[in-house]
Amino acid sequence: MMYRIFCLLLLSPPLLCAQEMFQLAPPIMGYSSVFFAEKATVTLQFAQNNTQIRYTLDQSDPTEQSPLYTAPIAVTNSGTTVKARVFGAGFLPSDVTAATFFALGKKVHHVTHTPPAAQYPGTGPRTLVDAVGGNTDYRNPGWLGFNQDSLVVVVDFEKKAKVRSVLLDFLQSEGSWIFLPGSVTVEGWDDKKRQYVALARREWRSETPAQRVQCVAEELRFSTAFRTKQLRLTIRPLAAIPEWHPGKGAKGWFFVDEIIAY
Amino acid sequence: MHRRKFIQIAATAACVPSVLTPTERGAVILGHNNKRYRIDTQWGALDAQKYPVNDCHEMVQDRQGRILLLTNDTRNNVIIYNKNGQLITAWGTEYPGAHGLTLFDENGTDTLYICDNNRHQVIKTDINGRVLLTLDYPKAANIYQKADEFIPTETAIAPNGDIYVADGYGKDYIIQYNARGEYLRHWGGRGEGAAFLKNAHGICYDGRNPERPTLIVSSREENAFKRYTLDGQYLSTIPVPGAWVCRPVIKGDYLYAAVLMSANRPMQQSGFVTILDKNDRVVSNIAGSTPTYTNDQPEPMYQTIKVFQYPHDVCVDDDENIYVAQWNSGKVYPFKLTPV
Repeated sequence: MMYRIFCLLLLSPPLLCAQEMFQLAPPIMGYSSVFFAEKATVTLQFAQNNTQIRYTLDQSDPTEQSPLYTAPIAVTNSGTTVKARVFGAGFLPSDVTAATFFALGKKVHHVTHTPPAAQYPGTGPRTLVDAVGGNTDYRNPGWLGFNQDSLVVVVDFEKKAKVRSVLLDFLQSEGSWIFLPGSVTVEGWDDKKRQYVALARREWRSETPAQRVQCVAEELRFSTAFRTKQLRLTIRPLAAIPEWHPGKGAKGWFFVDEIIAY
Repeated sequence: MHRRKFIQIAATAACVPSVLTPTERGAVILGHNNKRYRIDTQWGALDAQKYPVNDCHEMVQDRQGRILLLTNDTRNNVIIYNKNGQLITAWGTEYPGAHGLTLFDENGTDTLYICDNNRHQVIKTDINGRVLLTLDYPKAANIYQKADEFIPTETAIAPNGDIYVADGYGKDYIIQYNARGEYLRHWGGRGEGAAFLKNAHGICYDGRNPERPTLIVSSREENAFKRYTLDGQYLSTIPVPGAWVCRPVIKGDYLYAAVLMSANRPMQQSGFVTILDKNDRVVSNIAGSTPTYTNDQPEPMYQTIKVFQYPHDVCVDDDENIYVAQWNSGKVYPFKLTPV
């Protein structure tokens, strides 16, 4: 039944921590999308007196020596990760909030895909190529959600293009039963052979729990660049949720919000 | 299988070693403006072998000054403390889905209304647990095909004894019965428009304006409270953006509510407690963001200090202390907040 609770037998932090201190919650990171044409603008906020937000752009976890956030951050390099953390006297520093930003790729003329679960339909036929994505809330309408069925996506470029890799942005929110998919296969249409040829494949097993709710952008690089006008991607759900999760044995959900070809 | 039927917590109760000067938890001052508190996280701690809790769902104070906790552990559904957190007594073994607890002063006698999610019933008892009345799903309303569609989460009792039941895990209707338990009317439910509800998790009688008493209902998933007349006419919406508010609790001029979680970090132990003044403006967030209004609208609110995991109810006692019961939070006993 709805809202049935399988309570985990975990001790609460107050019982585990010898030192009686509270931890700060992570800062709120704001951006319109993690995908950008020229630049992404990232804001940080935390409405708690006597605290400071510090951030990094070099993948390291922020420390009290990292730059202090005072104004919106402009990101122009594809693949840049913004990490932020709150510090305040008398409190344990927050966990790290992070997001990685990506430049847009080849211009997509047309995209078609198999239908998602009815309750997570996305924002329309171009959801996967609309340059909008990267919100970690599964209820954000930018996500397409799949559970029982595989997702097959056919992407047509505006003109024949030399493609080196494909990036897919997934949501990892395992507490809400949303996992990385079981596998992704990328194929390209070969005009001469009149058939699709395999270009890349990756698999995930989710064998250990993720440390946080996050967007995971997976870039599948081809062994050699491939000239084509059309790609076909097949994304399959995790066949069985692993033992460590309360949903063990069931198929995992996967959520995807963007596909970019470079 | 629908994911959201089985939302789970991958709890990460990590304890990070401190590199800062330690501050005693009890020395931390939480909240804002004239509603600021110190916290005692050990207030309600008991021997879990003898007096176990599962989810701590709701709390009330009775006329003797005692603090009653409702839990869905059927070894002792109701645990009764004094204000110092010492156990007085416990009772109740028949409420596997114990969720809502409301106290009503019936002509000088305390009575309790328990909403049971599993039994799909509301049970009225005396203060010692003797059953006085049982409400089943309202067949006369013609909105339920069968009993298990009715999943009551909360009751509110008007001074005339009318019983308002919030079907917060069922179809989100508010169902009004008279004091004898006879169906009178219903409203709310799901739909598009301000008068409808999305997870009608809590309800209370608001008599702060004695000339115009109203009902306040939480529309939790919508992050709002909604105000209705006593016969169900929609009046207004009180936005609490970002806050999954459980039941509204009125004490003096203020409305208090446990916030199960912050919308920006759903299902990540991101709860806090919010307090609104009689003008329905947020004046304090305990372990939450500083209340800010822009063009008369509240800015989204969120947890800032990890004091709570999933607060589910607050009880404000006759000395203005607040007790906080938590859902799915490692079977933790209630905390107490003392005004500064």
